[in-house]
Amino acid sequence: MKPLQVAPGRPSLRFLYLGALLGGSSFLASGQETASLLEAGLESIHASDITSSSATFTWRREAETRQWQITASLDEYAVDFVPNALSAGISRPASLNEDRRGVDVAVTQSLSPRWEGTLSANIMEGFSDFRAVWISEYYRQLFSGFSAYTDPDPGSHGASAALVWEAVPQNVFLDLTFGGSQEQTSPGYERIIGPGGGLEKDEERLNAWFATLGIEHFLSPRIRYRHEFAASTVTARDTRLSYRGQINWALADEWVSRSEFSHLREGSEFYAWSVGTSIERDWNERWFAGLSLRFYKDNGQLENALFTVTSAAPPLQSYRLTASLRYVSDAFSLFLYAGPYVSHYGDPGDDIAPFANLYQDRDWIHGGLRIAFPF
Amino acid sequence: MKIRPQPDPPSRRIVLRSLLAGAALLLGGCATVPPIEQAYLSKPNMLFEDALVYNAEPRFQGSFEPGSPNATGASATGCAACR
Repeated sequence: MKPLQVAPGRPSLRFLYLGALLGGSSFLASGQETASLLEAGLESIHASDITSSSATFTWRREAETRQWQITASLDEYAVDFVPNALSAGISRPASLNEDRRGVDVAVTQSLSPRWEGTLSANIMEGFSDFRAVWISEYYRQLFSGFSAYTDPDPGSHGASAALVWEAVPQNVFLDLTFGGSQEQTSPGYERIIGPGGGLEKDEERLNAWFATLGIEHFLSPRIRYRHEFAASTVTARDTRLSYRGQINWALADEWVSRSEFSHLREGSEFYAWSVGTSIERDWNERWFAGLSLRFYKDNGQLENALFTVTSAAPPLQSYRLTASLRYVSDAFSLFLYAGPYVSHYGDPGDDIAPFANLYQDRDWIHGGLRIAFPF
Repeated sequence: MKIRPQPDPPSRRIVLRSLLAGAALLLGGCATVPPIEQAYLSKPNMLFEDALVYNAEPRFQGSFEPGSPNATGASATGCAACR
């Protein structure tokens, strides 16, 4: 059985696309430079059988009326694939290491004293998360002997346009974003039982569209509020609608509380909600120490299996506690954070038995380091 | 499309109340604060912005939680590898 491998990238369409992005952005970025910022972030989350790590690098350049930003990212997944006992004899354990690389470019232009526009585009190559790596290996071990099976070539590219309007000067801000993306997934497969037999491949290329409306305003001289309404669609799915409210409250001179609530629905079947809050104290706005708590819950992903087996996630509840420390100076800024993360899945049911080890409860540790250099 | 039996979603009444509360905050709670009184509102950790050192959201959150508000891309929107 051949090892899990990503198919050779599709020809150069993606690179042409990237070239166009870079060239266009460079052209638009011309103008008198006033400030630049370099940001880097390292992050990792670890459980006994899975480690997911990421690194991001951002260069932001600001001119008088224009801002240009480019971000490069690398995500790595180390997964101990252990098949369920039910799959023993069909699948075998494996240590998997995969990654994802991406570039994101954005240009923001001031259009008038109260209007600002942003164009952005991104491109990604590789698996979107550890779950896709696990599921890909499962299907590879099961079906790589079939002629209909193809090595996965996951990746995506997308673009968006945004407008920001200062509706009430220095008080109320509205932003509207439209975007779309095309994603090449690592698809699932299913045996066709009956005359002819063979293998049925799941939808491999997904098109997604989204729109977001954000409204930011003040409730008092100490409270800043942001509403975010979003709608999105993806191939073969119902429209998703979501609301997110965020409230930042200066409780005292040195104390700030940040809280948020979100609710999301897809059609009438899938829902998710989350609530989180954090509190942070600062010393002369140079040192900041904070603690945050977050809870998330959904009722399980929709599944579209033709028969009885699905890799769709069962209902999920998760809890996150994060302690953080930030240092800010004119020369550089530093942000450190760490804490536990607990993911707890509901009863997977018989139709998901082969993926029981993927959707097992896990205790994670997460942490990260972010640093920014203005110059 | 076959749907796995799902726990009951929160009632429409709860969703409606949340939306009404949001609308009330949006329309009724909006205050105009002159710039001279915005000292607290302008503190760096009071802003909603993308600056990496002030954004405390972990990058993994969107891919771990498919219904998270910062879940992006087709795989988060649906069930990319599901079968």
